[in-house]
Amino acid sequence: MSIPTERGTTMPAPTVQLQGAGKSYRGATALAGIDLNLYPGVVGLLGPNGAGKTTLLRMLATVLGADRGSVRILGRDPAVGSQRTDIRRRLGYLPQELGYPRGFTAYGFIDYMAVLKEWDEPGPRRAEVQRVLGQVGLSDRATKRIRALSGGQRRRVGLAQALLGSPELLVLDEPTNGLDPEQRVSLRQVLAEVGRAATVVVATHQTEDVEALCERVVVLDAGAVLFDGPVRELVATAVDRVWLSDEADPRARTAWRTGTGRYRNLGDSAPPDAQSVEPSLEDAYLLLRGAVSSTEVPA
Amino acid sequence: MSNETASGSWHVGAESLRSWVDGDAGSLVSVSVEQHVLKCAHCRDQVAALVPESIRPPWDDVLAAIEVPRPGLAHRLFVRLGLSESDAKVASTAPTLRVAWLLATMGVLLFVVLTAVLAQEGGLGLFLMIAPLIPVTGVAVAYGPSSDPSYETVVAAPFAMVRLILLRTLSVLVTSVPLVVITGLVLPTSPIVAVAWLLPAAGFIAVVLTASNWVDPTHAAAAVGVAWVALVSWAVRIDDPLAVFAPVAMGAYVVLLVVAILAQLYRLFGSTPSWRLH
Repeated sequence: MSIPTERGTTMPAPTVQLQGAGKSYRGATALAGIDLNLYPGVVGLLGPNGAGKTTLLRMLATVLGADRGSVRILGRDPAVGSQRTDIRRRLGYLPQELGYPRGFTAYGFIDYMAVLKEWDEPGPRRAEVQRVLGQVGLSDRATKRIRALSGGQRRRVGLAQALLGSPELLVLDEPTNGLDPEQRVSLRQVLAEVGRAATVVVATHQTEDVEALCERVVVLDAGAVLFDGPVRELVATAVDRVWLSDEADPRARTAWRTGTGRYRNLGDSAPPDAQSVEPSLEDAYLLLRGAVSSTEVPA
Repeated sequence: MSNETASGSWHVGAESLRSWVDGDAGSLVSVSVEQHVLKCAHCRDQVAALVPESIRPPWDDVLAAIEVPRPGLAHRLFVRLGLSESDAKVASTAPTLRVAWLLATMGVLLFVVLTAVLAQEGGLGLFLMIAPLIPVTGVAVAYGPSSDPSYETVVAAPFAMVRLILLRTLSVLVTSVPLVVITGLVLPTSPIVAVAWLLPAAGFIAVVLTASNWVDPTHAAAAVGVAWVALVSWAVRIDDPLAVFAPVAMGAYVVLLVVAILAQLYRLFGSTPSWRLH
């Protein structure tokens, strides 16, 4: 079921262009010179801890400079001060661990961030703060101190500040952390809506989020791009490699007992006699990573 | 008490609304109506039609009065000093404006005064040692990754970092310098001492701000602090604490200040704008 790409004829200019972009910390390579072009839409970023996801996102958020290679974001060079400020005017960023200065209410913090994002006029600023609070479903929590909010609500305050000014590039590091299923679904709705016009990059450990939300997935491992393409292409690599059995199959690379009492096996190919099942993105991701031992519990 | 409208959403019935506005509705009905009206623009309009125009503030103003936090004392002070509303907000968000910091500063200064009163000799040395380090510490913790939990989002915002740092520095100076100067005037020593420390303090603050381009400002402040404490200890040991304000020393502080400012300007406007953030 191949769908002809609409992009073939009128390819828009990429929002982000990385060419051999790399970063090392004290000699340890965090990002090993990667090439990556990003376009409007929602892109999922998967990879184990330490794969370089956060380094890449911090680079896209202009918080971190590349050691080597070239980086262009929204057509500008983040290494040049004035161009960096231009990028920041059109950028929203939710870091992995966003803390809040003490004493702020949800409204107060977003209002403060709006000032830092150059909403100088109180009237329009107020309307914008209300808009983003409504977008993440926190309008009725605006006056609560952030410390008194639940983990999921605090995460949504962080997301709200990233949405200020309807950025063209939205960089989100594990936005669904601490959210319950309903909140995750409503977050997906918000991001899908934003992703119609903007480029949204979402790093996550939740393969379901990527499956439900993203057109494209980038898998990072040890600072390099392991896979980059449509989600369905990654899932397709696992077809006929996932099967069920009553006992853990020794031919599988990894297997685990599911809630039904049967074992889900992932391997190089399903045995002819086995009951092959439709793979999920998680199966494909685990197979792509390859090295998961059968004793290790899949993430 | 509710009527279902054609669109399928519920609204408060005209009778219930009327009795609620008149204050005749029972507590149960009142609570329900209030809960609903908060969320329903249609019923708010109905309420508005039932009350005289003179007591009908726009809903958004009511909401703003609740939601928008009242500007704190520091914020109002900065606005009075001539800062714009948005700059005042940035300046007054400094951690150094917290009550805990002010209490700690006052506690340290009270300790210095007590020491000076009880043991006259040691008091001056202690004051000299601590006076410049209070604003230096304040500046070091006024921004940066170790003191601001939202640092990364602040960096990623277009607001100029230099402006933010200067605003925060201003807020530190406004809160700590008067306290330290007053303490100096209380001490049984020359009034010159009460203000002479401002020069080394200015030099140290400039060094910390410039160094923060490369290292965490708290580390820079710690290094400056160790050097200053060593210098004052030496002066106390030779029985001349005021040697730290000798002309040659004062000259050195000026040089420090000028060099730090030049280094900062070079970094800001130099031909090769380096870029490093931790």
